[in-house]
Amino acid sequence: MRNAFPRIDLDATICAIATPPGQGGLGIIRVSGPNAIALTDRIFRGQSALLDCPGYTVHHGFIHDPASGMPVDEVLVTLFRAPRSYSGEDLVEISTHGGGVVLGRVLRALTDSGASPATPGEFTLRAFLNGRIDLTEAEAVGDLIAAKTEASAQAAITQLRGGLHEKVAFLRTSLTAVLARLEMGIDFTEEDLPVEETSSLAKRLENLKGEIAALLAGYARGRILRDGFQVVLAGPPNVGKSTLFNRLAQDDRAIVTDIPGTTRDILREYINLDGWPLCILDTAGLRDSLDTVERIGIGKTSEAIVRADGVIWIVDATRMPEDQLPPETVTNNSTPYLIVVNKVDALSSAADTDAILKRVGQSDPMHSVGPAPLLPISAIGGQGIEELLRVVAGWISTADASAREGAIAINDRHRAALTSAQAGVERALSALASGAELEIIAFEAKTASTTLGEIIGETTTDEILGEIFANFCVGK
Amino acid sequence: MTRHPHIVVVGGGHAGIEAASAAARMGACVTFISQDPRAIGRMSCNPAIGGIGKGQIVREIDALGGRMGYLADRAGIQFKVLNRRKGPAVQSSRCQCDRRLYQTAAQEDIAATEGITVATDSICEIATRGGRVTAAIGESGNVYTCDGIVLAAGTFLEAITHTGSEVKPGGRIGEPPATGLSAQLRGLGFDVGRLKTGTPPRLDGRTIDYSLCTIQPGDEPPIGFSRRHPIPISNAESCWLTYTTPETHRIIGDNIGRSPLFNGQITGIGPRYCPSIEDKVVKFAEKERHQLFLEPEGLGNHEIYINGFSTSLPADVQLMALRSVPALRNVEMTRPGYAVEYDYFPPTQLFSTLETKLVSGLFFAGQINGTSGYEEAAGQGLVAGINAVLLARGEAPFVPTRAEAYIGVMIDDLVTVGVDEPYRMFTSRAEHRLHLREDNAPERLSVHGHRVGLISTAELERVRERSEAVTRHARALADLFVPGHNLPFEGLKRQGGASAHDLLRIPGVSMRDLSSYGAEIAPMDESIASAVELAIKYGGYMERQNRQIDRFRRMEDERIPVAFDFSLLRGLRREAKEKFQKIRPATLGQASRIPGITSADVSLLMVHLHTRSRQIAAAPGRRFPSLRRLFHVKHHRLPING
Repeated sequence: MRNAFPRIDLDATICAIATPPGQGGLGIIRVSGPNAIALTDRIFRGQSALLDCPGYTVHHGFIHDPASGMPVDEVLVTLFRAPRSYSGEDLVEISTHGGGVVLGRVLRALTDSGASPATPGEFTLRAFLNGRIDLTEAEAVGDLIAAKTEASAQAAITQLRGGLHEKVAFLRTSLTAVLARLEMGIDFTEEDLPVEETSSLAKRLENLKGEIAALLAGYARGRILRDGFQVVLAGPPNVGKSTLFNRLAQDDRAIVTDIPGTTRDILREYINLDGWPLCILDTAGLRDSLDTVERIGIGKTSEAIVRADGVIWIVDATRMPEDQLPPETVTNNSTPYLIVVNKVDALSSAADTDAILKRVGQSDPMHSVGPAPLLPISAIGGQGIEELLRVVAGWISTADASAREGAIAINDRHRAALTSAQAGVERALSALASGAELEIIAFEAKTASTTLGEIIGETTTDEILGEIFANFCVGK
Repeated sequence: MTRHPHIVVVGGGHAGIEAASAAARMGACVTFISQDPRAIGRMSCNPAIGGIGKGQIVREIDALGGRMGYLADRAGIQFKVLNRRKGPAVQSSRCQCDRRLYQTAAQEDIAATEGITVATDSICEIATRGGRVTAAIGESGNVYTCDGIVLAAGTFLEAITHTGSEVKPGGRIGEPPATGLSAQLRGLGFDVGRLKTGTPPRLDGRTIDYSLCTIQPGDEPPIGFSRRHPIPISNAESCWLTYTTPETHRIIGDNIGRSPLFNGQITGIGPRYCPSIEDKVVKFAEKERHQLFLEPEGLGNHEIYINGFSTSLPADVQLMALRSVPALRNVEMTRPGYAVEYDYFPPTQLFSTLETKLVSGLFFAGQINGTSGYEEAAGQGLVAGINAVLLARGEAPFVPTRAEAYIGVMIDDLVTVGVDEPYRMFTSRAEHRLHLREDNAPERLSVHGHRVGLISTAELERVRERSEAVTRHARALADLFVPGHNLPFEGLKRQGGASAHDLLRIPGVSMRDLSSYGAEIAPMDESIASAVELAIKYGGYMERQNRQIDRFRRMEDERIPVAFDFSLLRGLRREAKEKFQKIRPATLGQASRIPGITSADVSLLMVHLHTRSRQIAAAPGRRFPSLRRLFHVKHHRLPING
């Protein structure tokens, strides 16, 4: 929905399965559009005709196949009438007895009767087009649906309640106050008005910059909540990456989804770490094609490392540490990394473990800068796994600088607009500092204000004049 | 369709003059109706043309082929560029005019224009047939049959003047109101509202102690308005500045109950940007003094206009308050200030051509649309006059956009947002302000003036040549290397020099400086030199502004068919549907500027328009616009609320 405007025909009635795929106790199908109730009525046999029933009512009955006339399932049908429905249109929810097969048959019965299959997000898009929700809310619904943990859902709900809207509206009000003072110096120069000192204007702008930065910090949180904190497991072949991957996946009972890897080369698994969605990427698939450590610097693994929020580099305690060291893409990067020395259970004594750790540490090309982050583990025995997760949790809380109470998660669109608004405020500040003409400073500030308005879908000019007239004695 | 339509222009103020003159010069037969033809071109309020945001409008009128710039130059007695210490985009010209000279110049100009017949009458009825105008009917009983009417009645409709408790029917002091017409238009279905404006007392200059005032001289050399008809001008008079005192405020405060503004006698809404002195004293009690500008009304004329002292207090209080100002302690008034209440037609009843939506061929211009100011009125008069002729000829209308002209900004504000106080132009109303400058008005608008027949081909050619010369010279400066030894910049000296173009981009460096650095610059006209300097200095900002303009245009290019039935928009909020039906926006851009319209409403409209256009196959292969684009260009305007 954030990219191309879908081709959408609002006269069509759409339907889709609303519950996640797989076996479940119940399944829900949603039907929305001008003929939602009539279409459902065609395949529904119950005590009363749905068309005659008011909204917010539930009806028991059976769905029949329109071709064969055979019953498909026993269902409960909930009616919502426009505009008091999620989409703002007539909307029907059909609760079936679970199962992909039954749901599929009900859906087919609907499409056979004239409904169109909904495109992804189309219910929300219709809600937006029908004025039920604003743009930020529409985005939040998308995030809520895709939420991977409770914290993700909570952040989406905060946004849905207008947290972002409120915050951005506040920023715009502050910017309007600045603009009013700038415009006063342009449009009312002949008036005997108080002149705001450059330093005071600069202070207002600095404050704004800080506020925008704080909102931007929410991006890290938003992205982590939405996409998970990405940790890549990497290392030379046969050091136990897959074992560690499976161990991490199995150890955590709170696996939220089982999204398969989007590429054949990288496996990913989501686990819940203290409420944070942690996404572990195993580069296992690549190892077969890699025969030397040097070659790891190319291809998908290397790309995954660059994109990762954290890297766990695995070495084998029973092999020469010098041959297993992480490449520069890992060590010479702002992304946090950890070297885990696996298979310590295969060593004969604790003294051996210390010795190998020391050797690994000294071989790390970065060891002169500071001690390499090292951790002995056994992926098979489970030793050190708890500590490993603590380290990763530490990474997450560092990344989420705004993890304080009430931070608002933002998405890419918000980030782009906020970044551009921030740049505008900065340009206004430097224009102010260099003694540029007022209308140039105003141009920058106005552009920033327009950009902020885009987040919530509004930008006004008259507010600035309104502010001037309200606060200053204008008029010769 | 007729090449020489009959156009009736009602009202001899600044809007009427432009409408009548433009229509006649486009080839129409114009009947120019005034209650008193000797009052044509009379300046009702201050004796000045231009000002911040307004000077730009005057230059635009001149570039389009209108009269105001030329008339002001003819009557000008003091010329000044305001905001001189600010950038070129917000510098505005203003000239003090000799009131009598202006009036004479206007009347001579009208008399010299072929095709205008002046008639003395007061129009009391607009005759229509099938939703189209057919004639204007005067109190005299005369019927002026026509193809189009421009109504520019100013503050005269059902007008009442207030001076203290003295209430008199009248559009200006000593001039009767126009009665009956607004009632008849109400009968045709028009909404009518009530506004108020005011004017200060006039003083006898011989009773003012100028030694207690600060002189405000004009600029030397003076710069006139008209680039098309440059005439010799000079600064013959100065203005003066003085201040009110705490005693002035006390007198006004003590008598506030006698002000019609405060005792409920006046109900019309006045302009916040031009408050009366009693308003200022009450609302901004913490201010110890207010500015008073003394402006001469003309050469050899003792009358002085006291700007900043607009009032409707009783005459005795006015005099008492004036005499509490040291420079005015012996002052005599030649006439007291007063407030005037008048009918206006909320301008959302108009299309962007200024034609009324209710009656085809009927155009409204000037203060009856809820604006204030001579320049705002003249700009509307010009657009209305042009469109009245174009409509009668069946030609495409002329609608300047917000990205082209202040006149475009004003008309779009009026017809899309409406007014809740008399509307005045400010530069901050223009989102593309860096582009809408006084200096480039011909480059922006001559092409339109030429299209409608007000600007000759030769003249348009001269404008083109000039802008080509500017481009050529600017390019030459980029290729011109200035060696370092004469440069006052250490870094560039060490570098061995810089291009003239790069030097000009340094703040404070002018074309003149370039020569002193030893750069050999091709000789050029001074006005071209300053245009070149500007193009280079602000090039980066202009480019960014131009990108914003491109984005704006994309939404303006999404046209909504004139006959589009908004009631068929399924799923649209009722409030939004009502607003669309009332405003009948011509483009998606305009639709998005209607107050209270949300981005969702516009998206829905867009979806419908594109679904329709696909069905009609009017635009095969056209790409569907993205939501992103929509939100990037949305300009959502709210009414000012104090």
